[in-house]
Amino acid sequence: MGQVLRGIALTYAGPRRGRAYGITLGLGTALTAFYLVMLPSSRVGGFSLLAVHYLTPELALAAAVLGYGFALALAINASALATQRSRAAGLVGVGGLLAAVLPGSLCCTSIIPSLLAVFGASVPTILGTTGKIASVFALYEGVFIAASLAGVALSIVLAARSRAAHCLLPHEGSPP
Amino acid sequence: MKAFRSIAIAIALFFSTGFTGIFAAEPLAVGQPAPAFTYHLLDGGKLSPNTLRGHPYLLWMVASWCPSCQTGSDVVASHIDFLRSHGVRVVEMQLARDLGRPGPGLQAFHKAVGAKANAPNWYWGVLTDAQTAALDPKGDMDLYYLVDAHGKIVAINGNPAVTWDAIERFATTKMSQAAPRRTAQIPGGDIVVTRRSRFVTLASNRFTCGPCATRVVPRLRALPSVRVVGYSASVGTSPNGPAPNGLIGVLTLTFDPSKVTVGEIAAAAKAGLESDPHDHAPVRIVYKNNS
Repeated sequence: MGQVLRGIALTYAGPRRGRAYGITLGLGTALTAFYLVMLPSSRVGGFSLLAVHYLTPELALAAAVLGYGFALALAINASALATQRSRAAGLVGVGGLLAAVLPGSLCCTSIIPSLLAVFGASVPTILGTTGKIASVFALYEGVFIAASLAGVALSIVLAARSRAAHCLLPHEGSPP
Repeated sequence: MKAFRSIAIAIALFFSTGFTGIFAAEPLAVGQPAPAFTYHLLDGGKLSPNTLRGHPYLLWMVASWCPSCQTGSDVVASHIDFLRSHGVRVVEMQLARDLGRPGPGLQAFHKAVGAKANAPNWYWGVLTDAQTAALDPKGDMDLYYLVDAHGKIVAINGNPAVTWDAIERFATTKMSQAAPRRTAQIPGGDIVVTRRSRFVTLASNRFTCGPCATRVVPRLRALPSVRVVGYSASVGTSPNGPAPNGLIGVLTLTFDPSKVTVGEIAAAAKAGLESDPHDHAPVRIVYKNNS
């Protein structure tokens, strides 16, 4: 935990702190705005600004954590030198962001039945299968969002630990 | 990197099509007549094509596990009185077997909506497999047709929570109206009363067999001295001109003027028609050629 906090502190105290703040606030705000619409979009069957009407405090909080959390992970990675960046943190973070998009985009839209049709499914197959797939995103929407939050949190931890570990080297060893 | 770019383009395409789907085809086209199905209702009754004939309606197919369908039901509930005031009916049907994953059932939506769900212009039912395949072969789970008073599909859309404006336009503009008629006629629901001595005839475009037998005739028979001596339903001309829906029913009664008045007879028939839980259109009584 101490290493994570140190990694974050180094990000916002180092010579590239201006860029770190810019990424965190700019990208974080943009992503949060996106998720404020996207997370409740399963209520309206697709990405629509009207979805904001169905925003709950829990979803708003999740949107902020996802948006600013991913921006934080990105800022940490960006503040490090190229060799210090954590590829795993980037992958986990992007995975988390995408997982949060799934319920709103795949439940209650025509994407699933359209994909089934593209793969040559017959009408009876489509009518008997669409519900089995699409309902997963409806019924387990909370699980998807929780997994997203976990993914973004993990990406922060990985990025911060990587940043802190690499940064310790000049202090612990003799200066070049 | 190329793979990532391809995925990004695919996602962008889906978003740009507003989720209606780039591959989604409309099961029935605008301009086609809506299928004349008899629908099974949640209350065990049936909704026949005759009940919908001559009325604009929203035919909406939902899956009961679908959150946007529940939201849409809430939106429709908040506007159901508006739709009723414009003569628009709502037929909300659960797709057969919920498209393969049974949900809580449409009863859950009905219950969640509350008292508004019992509005007389709102029908709740379940589609059969055949009806689902005909109305929604692509398996969309929140799809509706706007059907005009002629039974013709005038719009296809989805997600009433998002597209309410289109439904409102349908209700308030000529989209929902039948084609203009050429001659004067009985406005929907009127009863034309014609008295000749001890006979009185009651004519109405709403005197179809069912309502007459179950709602009107029992009330008339309850009046003193009134006997129903004849009923006919014919296509075409009523005592007041052509019938709006092409059908006019005529009841012929005898009565004793010392025991009951023509006005009381007409009022009983009016009360019978207005007791229809699915059709509360006000009934105006028109007296003609009384002697």
